[in-house]
Amino acid sequence: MKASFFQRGGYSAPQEIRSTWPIPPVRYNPEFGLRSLHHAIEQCELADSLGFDWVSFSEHHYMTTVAPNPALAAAAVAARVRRAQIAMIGHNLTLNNPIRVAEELAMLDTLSNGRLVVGFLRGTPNEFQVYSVNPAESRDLALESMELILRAWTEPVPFSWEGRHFQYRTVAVWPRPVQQPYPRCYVLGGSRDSAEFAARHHLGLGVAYVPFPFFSQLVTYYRERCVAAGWQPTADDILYRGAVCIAKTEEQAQQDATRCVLKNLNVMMRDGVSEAVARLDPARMNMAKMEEFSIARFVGTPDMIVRQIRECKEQGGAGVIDFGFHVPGLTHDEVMLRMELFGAEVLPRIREI
Amino acid sequence: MSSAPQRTDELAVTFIERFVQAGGLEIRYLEAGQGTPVVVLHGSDGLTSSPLNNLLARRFRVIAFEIPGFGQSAGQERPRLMRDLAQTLTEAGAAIGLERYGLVSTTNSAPLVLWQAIDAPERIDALVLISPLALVPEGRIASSTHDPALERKLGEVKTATLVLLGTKDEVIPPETGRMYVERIPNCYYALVYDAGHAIEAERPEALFTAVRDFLEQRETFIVSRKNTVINP
Repeated sequence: MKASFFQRGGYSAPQEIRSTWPIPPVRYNPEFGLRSLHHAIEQCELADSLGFDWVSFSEHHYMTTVAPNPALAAAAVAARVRRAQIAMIGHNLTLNNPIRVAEELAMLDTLSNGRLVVGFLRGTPNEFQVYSVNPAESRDLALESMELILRAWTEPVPFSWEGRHFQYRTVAVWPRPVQQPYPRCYVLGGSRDSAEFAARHHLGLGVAYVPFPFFSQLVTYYRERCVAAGWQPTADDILYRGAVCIAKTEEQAQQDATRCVLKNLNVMMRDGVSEAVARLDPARMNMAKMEEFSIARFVGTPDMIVRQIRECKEQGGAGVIDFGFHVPGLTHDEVMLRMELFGAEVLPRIREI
Repeated sequence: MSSAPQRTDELAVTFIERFVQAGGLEIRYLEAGQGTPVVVLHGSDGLTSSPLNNLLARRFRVIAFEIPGFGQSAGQERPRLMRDLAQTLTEAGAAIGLERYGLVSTTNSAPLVLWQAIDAPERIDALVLISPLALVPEGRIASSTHDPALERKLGEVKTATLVLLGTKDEVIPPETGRMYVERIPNCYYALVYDAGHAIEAERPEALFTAVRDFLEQRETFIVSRKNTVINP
């Protein structure tokens, strides 16, 4: 079992900010922001020293994760973290120019001396608004983006792209990835489309935050599609992302876990907006109805968490778990302590899973 | 100026059936539209109703030849060599009064248009090869239209050329597109997303956009002319 440290980002302020999304910029303090990004790098360095296999990055806008461009964060960390893989899980494909994503990821793979891992994501419903993306188009945008990125990495001559959502008459990406034909990629998502695309293109599947039985169903479907496409995925092709609430006592861990529900993560949209997005979004995600959904899947003492990790492997076959330690309200020092506890009492015991 | 995608479900264009004598053969063709002439050669399905031709005929004067050996031209003895058949089609264009025109092929008519570009470059404004079956990657089985003599002379094609392949084409290996770019000096290569081998049937509007732009702009089709102003 491989363990990834998910650098979700945070905002190191004296008081926790609670707001509907988007959080007004007036509530941002540059001094705290400066501190936050340096804390993020320190946490990645700690993860590397503890033995995490990857450090991972995601994209979020207009909120306290302070991570609108994960490629920048990953590049800064790649210069400081010498051993762990740099996992870009990743760009929100619906928000980004796919050619730009292909270029940035190739640069990251080069900057990190071939340590890049890539996750393709559609993005969360609230964030389609960031660059005025129609939620009804998000699925098709993401699918076309993935296809174009893979082509941009592998076509050796300039080419044009006549897509449904993208038209580029000259594509000739430099640099090309160090890892050829491209780094290990995962398609993140809980839909059949994600599993089918991953299977068709011989990519891994990543699933985030869902209960393990649903994870198991998705992986089963993915495996069937892989067989239909003529190949068998290994454990390393299956990734699960979940928040971890670890403590010396179960009670303390459960206290942390209560703060991991969506309504505490500053992603809830204002009334009416959420419903409008849900009507347009093909996945019909109505976050207003999910506000009690928790992203914490690994909760408890080190012993309990080792059992939960084993369960994740047994139910879904995950060979990589991307652990998020950023519980709302925790300080940087508290996050580091939890990471150290995990590193000392969980990591050594999950290698053989 | 930006242009909205045209729909193929708009009114179909009426093509007029005509005949021309060339190379000792009677060649049937369909014609519609006005303006810059574009000669279109069909694929293995023969000369049929074509969404692409309908769209092109709103913009160009389209002449769709029925290749000798197909349809109503089936009974005639046609030249055995591709190069000679290409010469016959060039003569057919001249007989109609065409001096200079765009030339479009589909799948296995690609060798015919490439020979025309080699032997009569002064007549060809631009070449478009849709899902072409002229080159075969090493190790793959050649199609019946594969012409080794043509392959050796592709470097002589000076005409601006656009090759279009579908991203889901299961007939033509994906590496084939780059082979045309590597062999033809002034060649461009376009991928049509989510289309198989029959691009015209699956994404006719996207195909038309690329073909139209290349026929009108040639090499400069890579320069965007889109209007992104939302409101003045």
